[in-house]
Amino acid sequence: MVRMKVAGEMSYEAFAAENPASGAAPAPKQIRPAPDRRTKETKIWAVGGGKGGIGKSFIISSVAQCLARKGHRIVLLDADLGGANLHTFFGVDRPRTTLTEFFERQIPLSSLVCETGVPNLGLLIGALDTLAADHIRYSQKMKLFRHIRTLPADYVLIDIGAGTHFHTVDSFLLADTLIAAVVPELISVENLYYFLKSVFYRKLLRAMSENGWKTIIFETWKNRRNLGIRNVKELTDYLRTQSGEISGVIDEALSDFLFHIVVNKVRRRQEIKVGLGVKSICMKYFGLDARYAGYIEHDELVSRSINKRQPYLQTHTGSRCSGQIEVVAENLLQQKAFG
Amino acid sequence: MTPPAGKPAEIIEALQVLELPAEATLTQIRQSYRFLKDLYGGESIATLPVSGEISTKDRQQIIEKIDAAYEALIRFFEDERGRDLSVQRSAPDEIARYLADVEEITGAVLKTVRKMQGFVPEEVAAETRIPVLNLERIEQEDFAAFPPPVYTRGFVSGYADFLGLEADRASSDFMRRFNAWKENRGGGNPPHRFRLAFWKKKK
Repeated sequence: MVRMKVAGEMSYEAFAAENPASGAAPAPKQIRPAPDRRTKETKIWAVGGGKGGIGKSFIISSVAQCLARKGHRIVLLDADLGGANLHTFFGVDRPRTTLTEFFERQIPLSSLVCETGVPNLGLLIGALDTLAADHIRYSQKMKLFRHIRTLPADYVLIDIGAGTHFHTVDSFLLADTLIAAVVPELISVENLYYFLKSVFYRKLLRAMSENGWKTIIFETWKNRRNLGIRNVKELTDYLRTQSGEISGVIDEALSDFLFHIVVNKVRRRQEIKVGLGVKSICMKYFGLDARYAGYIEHDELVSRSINKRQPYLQTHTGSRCSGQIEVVAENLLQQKAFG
Repeated sequence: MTPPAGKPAEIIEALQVLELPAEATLTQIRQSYRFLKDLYGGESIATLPVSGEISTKDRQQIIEKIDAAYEALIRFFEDERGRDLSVQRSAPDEIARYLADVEEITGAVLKTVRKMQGFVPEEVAAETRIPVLNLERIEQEDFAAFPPPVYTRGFVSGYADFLGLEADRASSDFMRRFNAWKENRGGGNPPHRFRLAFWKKKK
């Protein structure tokens, strides 16, 4: 936990290598971008969590405002392609430009960024009128991901939406800083675990596929009952025993893999510790590195602000909830643990 | 990652088992140990969804690892401080059993829990910033010597929070007893020995 490291990043080359159908030539296996190649480029943060209604959009839009206030240039991207609603948080009415223009009319991403009324903070709205969001082609998605890094911003913050569909998971894996949101309720924790495991499995699958071992991981997971594999940790443990090379690939995939847990809608003092519990389970049961970035307490005024279409942080600057959001933003920025 | 001077690799490893950074204090170690023992020893919303994914044996192994890490860390700190820290240490489930029978959180309860957790008042004071004198007054329920109620309430809730008790319950229980004592001696706030002593010293 004390390791400081650059969070995971998935290069376009890696995407292309996994799916040659995307039109790009498969990149040679051994060429991987140096980890610090992007330090001066746009950093990507994404928030996910599996369950809907746990405040992912609220968290990411509030954190975005905190970062923008500090003078960072932020673009907030609503990648919830079928259910975009981030614009509502800022009271942006019927946005004229959305990702639809990018997908259908090839308009560059940077010219689709709308103003939010908050200095330094731009908003890219998901495709509002794409009814069949699931049918966005893989190549379209890859193009979007490729273009995100070229946006004129210090940070691009992505709201990926609910669920564990591979579109959602892929958008999440795009980020350098992975934020996992949860509320202190059993269902939410359960969904968070499903989500984190899917994310991890997809990450592992990619790393293995890059080396041409896609079938190994498929076959292992298919035969998991016979092999006595009950969880992702046992899966990686088993794969590690297969060969030193595989072990190396897994180590590399895991080495820059870190979740930042944010607990939202805390109503009681004891619920603050849910974040610590979830972090511990991630580390001890799943073998995933995790950090507890902080909590945000429940505030009735949040939903009232949203209904009034006013950004909560602007209308309730001094509230406890705002203070906690600032702590979360600062911890994420410093890659620090809460407490 | 470089271990800070004076901490051997196995201590850093033990701290990692307790999910703590290399510079963790003894108090943090104890709190984390108690938390992890409760987490893996019982059921909570964090563990319930994954209860089917891990065998009882594996879970037991995790608990044993946590215990071993804690023992190693306590030994390390004992050597460092030249003091036996484990004398009055009780297992978390023993504390939980004790607390289950407690109806009202009194000064004596706070003292018992503190002793069961093996803390001396100085350690509590260092962490909570509550002066040792006031911690002792709270434990002894020396109502006449208390600072004004607003401070007392804050001290009690801070102390209870440190011990891992419900701070709101502890302070309301305690203040109820404080108020009952005030009623008995005819109402009003107690003469502030606290404040008088301050003025006397000035003179």
